[in-house]
Amino acid sequence: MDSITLVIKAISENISLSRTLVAAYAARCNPSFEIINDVKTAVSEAVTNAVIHAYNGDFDKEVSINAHIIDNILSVSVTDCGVGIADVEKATQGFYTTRQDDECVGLGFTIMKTFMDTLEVKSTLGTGVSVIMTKRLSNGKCEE
Amino acid sequence: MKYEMTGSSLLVHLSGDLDHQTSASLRTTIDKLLSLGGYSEVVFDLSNVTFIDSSGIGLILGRYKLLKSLNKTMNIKSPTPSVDKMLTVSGIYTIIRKI
Ligand SMILES: Nc1ncnc2c1ncn2[C@@H]1O[C@H](COP(=O)(O)OP(=O)(O)O)[C@@H](O)[C@H]1O
Ligand SMILES: [Mg+2]
Repeated sequence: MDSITLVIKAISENISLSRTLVAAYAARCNPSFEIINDVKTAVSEAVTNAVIHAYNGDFDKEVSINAHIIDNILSVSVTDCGVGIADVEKATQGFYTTRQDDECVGLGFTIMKTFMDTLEVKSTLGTGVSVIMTKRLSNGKCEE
Repeated sequence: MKYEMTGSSLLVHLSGDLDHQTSASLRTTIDKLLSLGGYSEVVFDLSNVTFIDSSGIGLILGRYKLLKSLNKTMNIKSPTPSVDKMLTVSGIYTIIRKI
């Protein structure tokens, strides 16, 4: 089965690279511009979370992004090995944030949920976070 | 970032991607401009913003709160369809007017 994997250091410069790569990969199924942008935004949220929250600013740690397409459905996973989330249900609620700076409004998971068809967040404290999201790219047949 | 003053209205043109990487330095630049005063209303022109995620939403929301504390009005102008979707989903338009 075809898939792509990107491993990045947890620095903010790699966020746009990650979302652009997944969007370019999804483009092979000729999705609408809106769908491409939804994917781009959701990936940006997941990778940003790994960069900001997982490693307490340790730039040398890694985040891995994996994507594959089966029957026109894109599946993306974003995985870090950082501090993890104690209460996933609470963390994924709208406006919940553990950071008080301007850029954390607590909407990351809400955006992922809204812009993708499915969202699964796997985590326990101390073992990192894995975010798995899927989205149907188009209704026609995908030329793979 | 470019800006122009028309009467007492300050028009700020944002461009490119508004994400975690770009928002921090942009915030410093914008806040420096806003601290100069001389305006009663600020309009953010988003026509050249190519991408926005929740970090960019945080940037906009933060400037709104700052301006509100200074008793100034803030409006948003000309977002592209994808930026407009993000602003809608995150509820920005319930507090900031699109003109
Ligand atoms: N990869 C991660 N590692 C550790 N904690 C995370 C991770 N992703 C999200 N979180 C936690 O979940 C909360 C909510 O995330 P999110 O909805 O994206 O809002 P925000 O990033 O603005 O805080 C974060 O504040 C953080 O506490
Ligand atoms: Mg987030």
